[in-house]
Amino acid sequence: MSQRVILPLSMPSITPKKIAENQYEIEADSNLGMKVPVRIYANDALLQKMLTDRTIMQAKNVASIPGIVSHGVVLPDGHEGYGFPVGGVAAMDAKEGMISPGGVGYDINCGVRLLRSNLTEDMVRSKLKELVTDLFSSIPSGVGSKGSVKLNHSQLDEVLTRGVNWAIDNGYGSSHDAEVCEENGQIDNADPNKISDKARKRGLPQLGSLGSGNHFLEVQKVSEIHDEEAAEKMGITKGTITVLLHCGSRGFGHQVCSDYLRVAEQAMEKYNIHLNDRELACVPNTSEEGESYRTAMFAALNYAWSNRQMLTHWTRKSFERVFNQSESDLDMNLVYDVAHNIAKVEKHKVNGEERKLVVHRKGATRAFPANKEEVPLKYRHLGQPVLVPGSMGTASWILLGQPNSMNLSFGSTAHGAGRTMSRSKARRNYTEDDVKKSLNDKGIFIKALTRDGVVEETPHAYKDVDAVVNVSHELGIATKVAKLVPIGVIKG
Amino acid sequence: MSYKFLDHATDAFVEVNAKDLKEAFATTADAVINITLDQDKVEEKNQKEFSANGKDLRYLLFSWLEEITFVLITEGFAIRRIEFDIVQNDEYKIQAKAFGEPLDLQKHNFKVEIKAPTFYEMKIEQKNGVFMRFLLDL
Repeated sequence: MSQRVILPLSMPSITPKKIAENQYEIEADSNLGMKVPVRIYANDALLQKMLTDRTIMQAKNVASIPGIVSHGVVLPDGHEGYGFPVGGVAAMDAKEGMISPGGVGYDINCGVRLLRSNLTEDMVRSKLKELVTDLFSSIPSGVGSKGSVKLNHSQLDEVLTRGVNWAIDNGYGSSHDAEVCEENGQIDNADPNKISDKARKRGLPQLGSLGSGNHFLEVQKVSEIHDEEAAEKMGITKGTITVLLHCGSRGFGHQVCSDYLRVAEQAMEKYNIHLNDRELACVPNTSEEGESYRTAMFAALNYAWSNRQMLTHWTRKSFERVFNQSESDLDMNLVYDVAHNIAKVEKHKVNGEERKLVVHRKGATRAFPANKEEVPLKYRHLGQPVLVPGSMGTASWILLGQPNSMNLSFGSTAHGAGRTMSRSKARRNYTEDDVKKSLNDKGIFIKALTRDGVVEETPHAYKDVDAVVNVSHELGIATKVAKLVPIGVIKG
Repeated sequence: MSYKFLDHATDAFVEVNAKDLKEAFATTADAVINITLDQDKVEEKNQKEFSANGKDLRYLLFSWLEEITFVLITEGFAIRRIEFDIVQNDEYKIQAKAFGEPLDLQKHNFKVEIKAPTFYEMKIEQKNGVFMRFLLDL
């Protein structure tokens, strides 16, 4: 195998060609080393925004990685990242293609889960401050060295191999929770022996913590139902309260990515892969280094599922305390848990032929349609639930995976609203009081660990999540089930 | 000796100008510390030793950014000042001593956790001083 890939670092002008409603394409330019075209799924306004930063350039770079299949994907929430764009999918041939730590990102198995309840908005409003304050004090941020649970190394190994089931066996939930997680919350072939001491040190004190940045927990009400049948199956009723949780594998996953980025970067010479940007570093999927990264990344997937399960448990306990009812009285079932930074081998049809592909989803949510065996039994006849969180203070959506996702986006859709304003610009333009007042005017109560965190996550810094979701809906990759609006926010 | 932030949608894209390599690494440390907390609010009460290493300057910078983040976030140690030396043998190595105190989220105005350094568009140029550019994932 000998490949030389030249990647541009400047930002040339780009004119994507419209090929259908909400679909644009950039042809494969072999002078740039592109192996496949890039497909962008967006409306005109979302596309224009992408053209103002490095999103498309980064997607073209990804289209140059050896073994990429069919087309690179930019979803409607796509924005610039580092190396790979965020809100993108890259599918590599499982035999001939690459696996790339950067194609998953640092926050391995960053994801979203949604809990339902039978509480109504009225019942929660009167105790909202008490609830949000209780949640804030019982859900650790995990910043600094103070951990919430004391783990030894063999317990950590169990977390890394058993994922959500470790948490459940240790009293943080029930088997019903595992049944509605992607991979049932436990992926096989995770290998704790592939984890560095540094990743262990970062992971030990942070299990069971929310983190900072864009991670949050939101108390929401169901404001609109768009698909009655699916909503009923998920236990979602208009006017009732839900809880949405967004977090990942904390410092553990960040370190796994950093460690294997260096492994991949140093192995590229051996495999004759030359990339101008080291952040795209990749190794053959079937190589020793590729296999090591996969089994380490899988351990981080399991860590994240355990982590979200523990936060779920503390959320339920907090509701129990504030409303003086048990979690079963409150019917606080897990609706679903999605991963949006992940790479897995899946079967997809390419030009009519079924192939095994390493599907890298970086800021992208799997959105499988009905009757796929990967969809939990409870939802298999319907399609996979998809959770798309908006920015703090705007709506979030429940969607349902549809057949067109298999035709257009390797079974994937958007993962959020997508940032449109830098953190520093948000700090220049808004104050903590501005943001809190505007949230308060909308009836949203917030408790946050940091002042800058509130300002940087102002809803003005994000694209319109409704526009993002509309593109997904109209393309038939994942369609609307219900809209959720926040009434309380906990921010790490 | 200075650092500035380039515009980026989500992350910290930092450029550093300095007179020499040591000053560039010192400025880089200041940038990382100030992204995380207010450095001027930290008192020098304790010290903590750490080291970074790399086969070349880019790997050294990556390791340096990683180790400072580890001290700040995982060890929960707010840093006011770092004393260090860069040694070049087969590879580069930095032996460092950080002065500061246990992290106090309120007192030090904790801002955000840095997830990790990246190699994305990383640049280190040594002519008429030292120029560095790197992106931290927040």
